[in-house]
Amino acid sequence: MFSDPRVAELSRSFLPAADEVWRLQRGGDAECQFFQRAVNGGKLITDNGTRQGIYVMAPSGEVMARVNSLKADRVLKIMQEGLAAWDTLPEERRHLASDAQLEGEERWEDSRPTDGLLLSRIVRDLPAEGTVDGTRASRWNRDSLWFSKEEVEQLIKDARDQPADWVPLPHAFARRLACFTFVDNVFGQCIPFDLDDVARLQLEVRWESENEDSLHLRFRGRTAASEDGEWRLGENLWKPKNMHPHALETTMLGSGTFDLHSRSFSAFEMLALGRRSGFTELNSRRFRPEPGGIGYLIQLDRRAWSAAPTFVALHEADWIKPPTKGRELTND
Amino acid sequence: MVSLLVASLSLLLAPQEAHPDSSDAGAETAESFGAVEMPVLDRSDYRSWRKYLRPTEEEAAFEAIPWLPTFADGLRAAEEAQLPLLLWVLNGHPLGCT
Repeated sequence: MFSDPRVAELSRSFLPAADEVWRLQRGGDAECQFFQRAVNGGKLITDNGTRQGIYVMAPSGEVMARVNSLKADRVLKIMQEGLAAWDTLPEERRHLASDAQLEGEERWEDSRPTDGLLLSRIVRDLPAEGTVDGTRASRWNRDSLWFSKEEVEQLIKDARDQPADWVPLPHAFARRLACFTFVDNVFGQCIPFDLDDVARLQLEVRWESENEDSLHLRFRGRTAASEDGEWRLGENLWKPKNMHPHALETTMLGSGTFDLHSRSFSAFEMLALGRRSGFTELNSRRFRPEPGGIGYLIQLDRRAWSAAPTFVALHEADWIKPPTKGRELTND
Repeated sequence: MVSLLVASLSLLLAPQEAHPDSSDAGAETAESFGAVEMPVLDRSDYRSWRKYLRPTEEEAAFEAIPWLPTFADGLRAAEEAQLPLLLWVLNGHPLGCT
């Protein structure tokens, strides 16, 4: 709805901010507690009801309007209502208190490897017709895919060690792609695959050429994963209450150019097409579980800031520092 | 720098080589997919698929709004600018996977 020109235009009258709500409504740091008291009548949140949505809020924390909707007209309406309320809000209720506590704990984004490889992944359903000139699916989703400098250097070393041969992608690349990236979250967050679910994992890189400035790589591969009904990724927020059968296969092509001076990729792209079936409990695919085509586009993420990869907590990488645990739910 | 750019561009536009096992794509889990065939990805339509998958300018217009990425950043900036905060919160960061 924020792509609606009317909503985008009216957003200029606000200070826009976006954040992840699960942490805000459950966490125990000062920022989370400020949010909870702001949206929950001055009290900490102890229930599991969602606080997703769009809020118009004074810097003091006073909520002036709220809606949880994807409809542009409804969002536009509450923005207008919020602005009107702001215009009449007394001065003494507008301001952020000078002693307001807003310090947040560590975030996954603090581990963003700015000297490594930052990728953006787009996923979208494929046309029912199966061909690229078929009807374009309107639903898509984004995610991030991160690799540290050391992981990138391992990729380069592996490719260089056997020039012109196809060699397997390093484990970190293969696992993050097959288990966490090639998943069906077109209709919202899903659960990941674990390696035991992955029946085929053939993701390869080939050193293509090199000059004094850069080297060129190609990628190709195939994956096939099928949820086998057993959760092996530990006790965490991704553990589903119920496992539902789902499967996904991909075939992937790609290329990259690595700058030998900056030791970073100046170009990188992977494109994968595949087919999917079934659903997981966390999104609305359950209403349309029929098998279909799915596609992925992975490119350099040049944004100044990006959200952490969805499954960053499962990456098993020592360069990722997990946030400290939030509070337990307790009454205020 | 120019040579690097040209090299990068030429690589991205160059013909792609499919995985040699593509002929038996989906052998492990084929029964799950019913009549849906494994899509073919090769040099002839790579760029068309890229265009298909990439969000259109209209779809990605919300990313042109100068969102601050945390609640606290937004509150502080709203106070400084003396503007109301427009806060968008979802399960999954709205600027990432939601």
